[in-house]
Amino acid sequence: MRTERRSHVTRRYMELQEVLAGLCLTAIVSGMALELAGRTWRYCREAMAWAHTAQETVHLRTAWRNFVHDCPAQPTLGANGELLAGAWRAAVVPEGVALYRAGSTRLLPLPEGMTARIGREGQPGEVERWALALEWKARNSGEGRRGSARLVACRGEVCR
Amino acid sequence: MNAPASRSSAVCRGRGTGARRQHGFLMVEAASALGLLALLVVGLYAGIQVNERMLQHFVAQREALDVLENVVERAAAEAPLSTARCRELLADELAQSPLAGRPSVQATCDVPAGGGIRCTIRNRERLLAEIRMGSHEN
Repeated sequence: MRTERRSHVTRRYMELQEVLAGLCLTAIVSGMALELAGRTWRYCREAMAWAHTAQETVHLRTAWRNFVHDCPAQPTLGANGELLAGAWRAAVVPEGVALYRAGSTRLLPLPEGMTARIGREGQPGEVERWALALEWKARNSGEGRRGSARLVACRGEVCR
Repeated sequence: MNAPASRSSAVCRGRGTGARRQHGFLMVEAASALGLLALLVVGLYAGIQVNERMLQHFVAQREALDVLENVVERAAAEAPLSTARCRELLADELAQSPLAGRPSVQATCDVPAGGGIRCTIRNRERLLAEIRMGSHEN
């Protein structure tokens, strides 16, 4: 009778051990799977954001260069950080970069989280450069990864 | 009187041994599963790590291309251009780019066999971007 009870207790003890081992294994597996899924999701989103930003940067560069090259007069930098060239004007607005030509306006939308700034560069004697400086922060990036790009356009005029 | 009792205890002992063996097998299975899972997870982590490195490399390539695009724009405005001036432009643009903070990134300007000027940006001897200006290749 005592032996049977001991055997029964041992069996229950072993069952408990098995249940505990199973629970531990499930918890570990679930944790790892969640961590891996989260990391993969973050990586994919970041990669997509980078690809989108790179594509938008190429469009912005082309449009910005064409605008500066086609300006009807030598550009000057306005008080509000805008480019002024006769009737043409380029300014950074909340929606993006607005390029005002005589009679038409083209808005270049900036990707989410991106800021732009128009600047004039070049020392006296050097070729004048008009730079559109872009800065952005990777969306949902825990490390706060930032990116920037400078889009330079020159008309061949020398700074005075 | 004793015989049935001893038989019953033997049966119990037999059952106990079988259960213990089954329990041992289960534990070994659990340990093996854990080991295999650890291997799988390490492999997956390594894969993600490689992908992240590749993403960083592609971002650096894009930044290097931005630098060379700006150099070409400035070089076109200043043409004709000497190799020394091209080197200055490249150094200036690199200093203003996000790649400036990386000591492993090196930019060079040289004259290739076909003529013209070749500008290259490398990160630890790995080519990020290269451009040739003023050369005509057939």
